[in-house]
Amino acid sequence: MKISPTASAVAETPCRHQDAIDKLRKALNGALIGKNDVVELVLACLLARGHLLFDDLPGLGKTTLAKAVAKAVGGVFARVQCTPDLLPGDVTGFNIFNQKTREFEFREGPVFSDVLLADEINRATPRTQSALFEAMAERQVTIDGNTYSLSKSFFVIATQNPVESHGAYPLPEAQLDRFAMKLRIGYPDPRSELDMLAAHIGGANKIRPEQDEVVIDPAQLQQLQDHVSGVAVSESVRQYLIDLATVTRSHREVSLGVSPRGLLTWQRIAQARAHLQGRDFVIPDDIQHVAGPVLEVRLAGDFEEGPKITEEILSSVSVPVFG
Amino acid sequence: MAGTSTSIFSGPVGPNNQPLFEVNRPEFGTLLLATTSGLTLVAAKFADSRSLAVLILCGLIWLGFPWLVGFALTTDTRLRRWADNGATIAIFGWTLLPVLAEAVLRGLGSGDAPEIVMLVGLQNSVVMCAAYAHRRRCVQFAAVGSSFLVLYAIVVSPEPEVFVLAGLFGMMMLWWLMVRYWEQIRRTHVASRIDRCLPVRTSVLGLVGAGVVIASATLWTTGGATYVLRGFMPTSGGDDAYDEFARSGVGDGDALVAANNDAMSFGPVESDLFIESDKPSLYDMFNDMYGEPPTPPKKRVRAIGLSPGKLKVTHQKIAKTQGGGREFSAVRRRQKKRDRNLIDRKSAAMLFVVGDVPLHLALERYDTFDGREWSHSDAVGRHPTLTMNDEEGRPWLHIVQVNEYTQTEVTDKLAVKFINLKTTRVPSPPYLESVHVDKVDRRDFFSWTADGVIEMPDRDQIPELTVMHLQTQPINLTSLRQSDFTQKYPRIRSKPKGSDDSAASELSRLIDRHLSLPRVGEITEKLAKEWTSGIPRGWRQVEAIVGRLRDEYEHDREAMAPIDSENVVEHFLKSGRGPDYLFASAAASLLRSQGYATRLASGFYAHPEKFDRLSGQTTVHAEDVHVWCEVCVDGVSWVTIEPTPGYLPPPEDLTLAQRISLAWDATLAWAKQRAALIAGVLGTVIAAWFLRTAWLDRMFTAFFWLAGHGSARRRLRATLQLLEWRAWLCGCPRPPRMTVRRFYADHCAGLPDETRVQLGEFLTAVERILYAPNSPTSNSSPRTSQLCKTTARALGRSLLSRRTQSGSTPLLTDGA
Repeated sequence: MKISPTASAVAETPCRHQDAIDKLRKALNGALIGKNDVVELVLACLLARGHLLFDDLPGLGKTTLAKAVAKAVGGVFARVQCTPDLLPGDVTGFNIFNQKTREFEFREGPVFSDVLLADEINRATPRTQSALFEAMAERQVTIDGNTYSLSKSFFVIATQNPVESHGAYPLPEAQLDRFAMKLRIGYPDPRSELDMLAAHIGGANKIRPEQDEVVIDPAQLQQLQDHVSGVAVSESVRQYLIDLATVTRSHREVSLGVSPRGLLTWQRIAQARAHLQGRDFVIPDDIQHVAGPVLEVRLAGDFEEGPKITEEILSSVSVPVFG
Repeated sequence: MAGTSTSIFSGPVGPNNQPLFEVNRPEFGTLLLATTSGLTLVAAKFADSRSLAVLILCGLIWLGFPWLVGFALTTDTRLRRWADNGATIAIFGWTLLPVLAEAVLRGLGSGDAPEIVMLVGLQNSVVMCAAYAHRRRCVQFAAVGSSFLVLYAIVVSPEPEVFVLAGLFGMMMLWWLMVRYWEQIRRTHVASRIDRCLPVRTSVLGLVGAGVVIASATLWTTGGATYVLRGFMPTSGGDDAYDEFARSGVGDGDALVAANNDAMSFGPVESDLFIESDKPSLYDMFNDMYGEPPTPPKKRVRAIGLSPGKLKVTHQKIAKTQGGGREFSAVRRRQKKRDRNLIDRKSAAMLFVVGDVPLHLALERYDTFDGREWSHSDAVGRHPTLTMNDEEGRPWLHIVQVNEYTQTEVTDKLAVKFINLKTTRVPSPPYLESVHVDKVDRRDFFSWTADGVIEMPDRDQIPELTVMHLQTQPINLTSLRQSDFTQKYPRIRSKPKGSDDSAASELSRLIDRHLSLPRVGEITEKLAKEWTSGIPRGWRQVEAIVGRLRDEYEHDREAMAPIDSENVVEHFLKSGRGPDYLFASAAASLLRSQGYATRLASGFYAHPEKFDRLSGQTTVHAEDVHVWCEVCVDGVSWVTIEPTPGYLPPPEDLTLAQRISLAWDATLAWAKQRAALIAGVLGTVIAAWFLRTAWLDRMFTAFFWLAGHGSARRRLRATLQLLEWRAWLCGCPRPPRMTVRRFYADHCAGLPDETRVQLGEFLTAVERILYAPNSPTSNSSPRTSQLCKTTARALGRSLLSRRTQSGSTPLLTDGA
């Protein structure tokens, strides 16, 4: 037995949504074997009403995970395979003239779903990428002067391939800031791969028989998200967040530090992470634990190693203890 | 607290979300500027300060604390918020604190003039405002105030250091203004609106108007410029008000009496007018101090031969005031207290001494002692030749007297200023070598008295305000200690015929005179033998006798010998206490009994405690009369010894090597005497050093138990503090950037499962009190107590030091 540096030993007041969270965790872990840390972060992002950007190689389970999330929350799943000829209307929807009724009818695009998987988003043109702006930030789209609300639990999982850069359009900073975090899944460990291979012999996945079960409905998810937003953040921890954000803005290699919107996102993700750990208050460990994925999506500058910069930033601010 | 931080760093922001103007951040440029102005003021006060130590200490405190505040404002702790929120209190408190400090200092005998106190208050407000330079009003006030301080310093002080510092300040101010200018330019280009925190025009007009109103009201109500002047300069002197700490006076005051600057302009010339005074003469002073002899002096001999004209005019006065006695009675009675309504004030200064103190200034010397009285024999001694030489345009009277013990390469200079001392004798320091009085270039202005003191004959007294420069060539006591100097005494036992007048026989007779003792002196001889037994003959025996007197006898001015005492020295040696003349008589007698030629000297003792740093001189008052003893080392040279405890012997002039050697010997001797104690202390210190972690840990643990009583919250905090201390003791404290859980969880490997579970519970409970202070702590007190005990026991020093040596965990996990 080992005490995890980030594990909580005692949850003094168990949350009434704990069962749902455990089921959700189990479902996602079943879909993505051997990646508990990634699943925890995905869950934190989901509970914090954030959007997720996967930056990883093909075949590592990005789509599988996105589908598993969609299935688990019991919502509508939509997928957009982004290509250079993808138009904004293909994402948001468009008005079409019905010759029978002699009226324009609105055809909903993939954004009218609970979980949207935008695969290889960096292949879409900037114009199409921008079409997602309003949807991601405001959870609504405006087409031909009409505003259409999206699902309250609208959750975007975008993927991008960092290797093939030909014909790709890097996401602009403004859009990157709308993602809560950027994750890399990475290769599973050999043991997990062995389990995966064994599970697929015979054509059926024996490891995740319940993968198609709905473990939480959208209404429950919204309640859970509301509950998570109430997790306490003490003044010292808030000050710690501000100090970290200040450092990102003055770091010599960072040209674009954390914006106030990014700061709010960081706090929300930390709240979600605290809740996932069974706590009703945020500790500096939560801030530090989610700092990497949260900062990596929004720090811009003349640097190549994001983790190193994040490490430097975290190392330059004292953790509040007695003060 | 986000709100506070925003107010500190508020202002326009640049493209990188950074504040554009560095002035909105705590910065040290203005603080440095203000500190320089404060240092300039300190340098200006340097010459006027009564106590250098107080000046430096106050300067360090007044200028140092704002720097601490400045540093606190740059930290990212709660301290910064406290410092920032308490800005008003800090500035006003620091401004007013010098007034309180002045009250305390005056109680301790030091202090400054009120205008200086006000200036220090201004300086404090300026420097403290500079510490809050991120506030616009503070930075403006600091700049203006520091400029005023420097201007004031330049005006009032001629010291070169002040001008150097002022020049430095000027350069810094120029740079500071340039920076401010460019910041203003940037602000103008970036911001569409400039917030003026101070309405300049209204403020200036308001201040000028207020000044006019106050001045008019003051003039109108007080009715005259003089009165107003006195009101504004309450300590300037020159009127009814007098302040001991006043820096200078208007027209009169202490500075003029002290003859600080131009006393040499009052040189002794024949046309000087000698004003008769009722101030005490030397003999009056001795009688005041020690009481009168039971029988009046046998005779009084005027030491000064006056020209007929002068004698005619001043005959009566001189006989009363300038009589130089040739006896010194060692049997005295205290005068009855006169029923006079005396004003409690210091007596007037007799002399001012410029030079190293302590200093013995001899005015009379006595060679013959009959057991009750000291006197000088009528035999005219052979004294060293006096010659007048010109050195660098100044006439110096040299005393041609060189012996093998004289340190010819060392010359000490000092000056004596005559204030109220009425005598023709030159107050002679030990080993006097030359005398200089401005413009006095005639040899016949000086001569020897019969008892061996240089005097200025043919005048009533050395004129007041005469400045007399003296040079001495000290005796090398180190070489004196190495041999028996009495072997060099010229002794002629068998008097050759017809050689009575020879120099050798004269010196022999002189030595005999200075060795003669009264008949009754058994105790004296016995004690002297006892004290010098085992000590090689020579100066070491002299030092042994003097040392025993100083160590074992008590100085008591009231303990006089009985009137009918035949030998006061015997009585003194029995009683163990007495005034300084009995100490000197005893030392002379004891030394004479052992064959050392001695004589008694009386005069003044310039006390180091009376050194006035402000004027650089030591005041000698009437109560500083003193009697001591001198030892002849070769028949010609006399070395001053000081047998009376409480009076410091003349400082020995040593080379650096001699000083080091003496210090080493003294240290060794001291250490030998206290060997056991030193060994014990050293052993304790060494043991304490090697076991420092153990006993410090026990101390911290004891503190933990004491501080941990009470609520569960306090217990948890105390336990965490204990762990932090322990980690610090192990040399690997928790890095400030590492969280508590991450750091201490790293140390759990190897612990039993149950302990680790409890440690996890402890960390969760600690996190709850640290980061969720408003949530109720559900840990019951016994459970919390158990968790704390288990944690304190489990995470001991050995575990913390072992684990921390393996290196720390990176902050980020690979999962991200």
